[in-house]
Amino acid sequence: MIVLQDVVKVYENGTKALDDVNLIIEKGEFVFLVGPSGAGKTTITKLLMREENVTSGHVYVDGEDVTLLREDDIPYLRRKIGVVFQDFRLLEDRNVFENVAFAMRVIGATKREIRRRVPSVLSSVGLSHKAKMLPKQLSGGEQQRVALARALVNNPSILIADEPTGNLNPSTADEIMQIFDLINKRGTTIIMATHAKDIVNAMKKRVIAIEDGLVVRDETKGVYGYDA
Amino acid sequence: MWFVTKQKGCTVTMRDIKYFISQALRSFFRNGLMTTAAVFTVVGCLFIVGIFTVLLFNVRYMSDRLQNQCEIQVFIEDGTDEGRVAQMQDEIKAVANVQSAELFSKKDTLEYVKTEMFEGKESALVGFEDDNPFRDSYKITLDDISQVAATVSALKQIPNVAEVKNEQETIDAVLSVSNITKNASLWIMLMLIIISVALISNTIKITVFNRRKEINIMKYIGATNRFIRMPFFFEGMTIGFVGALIAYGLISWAYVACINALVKNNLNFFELLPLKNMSLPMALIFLAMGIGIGALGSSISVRKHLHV
Repeated sequence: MIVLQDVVKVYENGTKALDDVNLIIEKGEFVFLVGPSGAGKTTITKLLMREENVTSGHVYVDGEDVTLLREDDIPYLRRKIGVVFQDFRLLEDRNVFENVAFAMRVIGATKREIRRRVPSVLSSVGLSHKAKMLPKQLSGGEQQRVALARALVNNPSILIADEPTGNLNPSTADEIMQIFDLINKRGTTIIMATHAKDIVNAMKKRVIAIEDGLVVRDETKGVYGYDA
Repeated sequence: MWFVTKQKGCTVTMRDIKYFISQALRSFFRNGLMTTAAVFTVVGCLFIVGIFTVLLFNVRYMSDRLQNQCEIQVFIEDGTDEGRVAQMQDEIKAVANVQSAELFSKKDTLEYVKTEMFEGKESALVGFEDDNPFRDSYKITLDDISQVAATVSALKQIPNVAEVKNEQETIDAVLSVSNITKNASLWIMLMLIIISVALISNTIKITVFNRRKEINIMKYIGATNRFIRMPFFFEGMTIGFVGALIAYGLISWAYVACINALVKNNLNFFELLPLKNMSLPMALIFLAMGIGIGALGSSISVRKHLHV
């Protein structure tokens, strides 16, 4: 479960990104964060990852107040959270298998564990046959699937996605969303910041709208609610 | 979920070390130009450090030899009876810094002069046995020649000592060369170390910049700070290590060439310390300095430019 309690975030330049935000996201939920650019969506994901810390308030992830984490403990929080970005962020000089294996390698998995786990994750995103290809040899959708496989390979309980379909054409975006849906059905909590109106409207999941750092709408089976 | 069972802690496994080394080597070869520049700065630094190390070893070698050869002669007042002369040996040995004290009686001295200086003309010294012009004396060796003045002064305080002779000027000259060499070496070494550290630090900065995307990804997928930083330390140490090996090879070759040139030109009265007598300590100094400079350079850069 994720809890944001009275969260205020003011950046060093004085920008108030979040203003007294209170949210509860249950385990296994699928949540869209929507709102105009600069509204505070990305700040929420950064607070969950402890890439930023709150100015005041508390953020609980699986019962642990991450605002109080020591610097040395932050990596262990991040191992519970998979993350997918709009620009994929793959290592260009490593093939698909190595990109996914890298996520296991950096947290200390053995070669045996890597050899066993990576093919199964690649298979779940439909990329088994492209394991030896380099990212530049793949389409945008395939690259995003590699990024998804990398985010999933360590079995995170939470998956954060920041505009994951932003660089994809509509049909590829739909395919990626199906994979997200499947992952969610297996029990992973998904928090997705997005501007993709059609996707949000089609998925009928919980929608939290943020404007000027305030939660202005929170609907169980919501819609995008803005002009695209 | 298998990752949850992983313990938080400081354990570094052999697998991690292999990974750090492989990443360091990969980066070492990938940044060809900067790595070469950094390695050769370390070589330059350690080569000059090596010249001064060799000088220091040799000055120490000369000063040890001088110390062994350098004797102080303590002359005893005429008319001192034999019992008192013998007793004085203990008093001399009790003086701080005195290593040994050997008696040369006036008889021994006359005998020495006869055999060494008047060989075949001993008749010229007839009559000296009854009226020996020499004095009883003690030949003294010291533990530390730099303390000679204090020792001489203490010896003069012993009753019945007539005079104390020493080779103060020679000792002073050797000590002065030794001190100048030591001080100059230290300052030049310090300067070169700073230059090398700065260059290695810059090389690592470039590596950090080149690998910023990878570092960023590592951060997001839960790599610990140590795991992200260690390959950069290893890269710095590899640069230092390779630089130290090359510098050691060069200085050894140059030193042997120098000894051979002295022998060839009949200048072997400059007896230099054989290479084998200093090769191990010199190798250790080179490796320690090379790896140390590398670690320091990378550590500065990682602290300054790698925010994980």
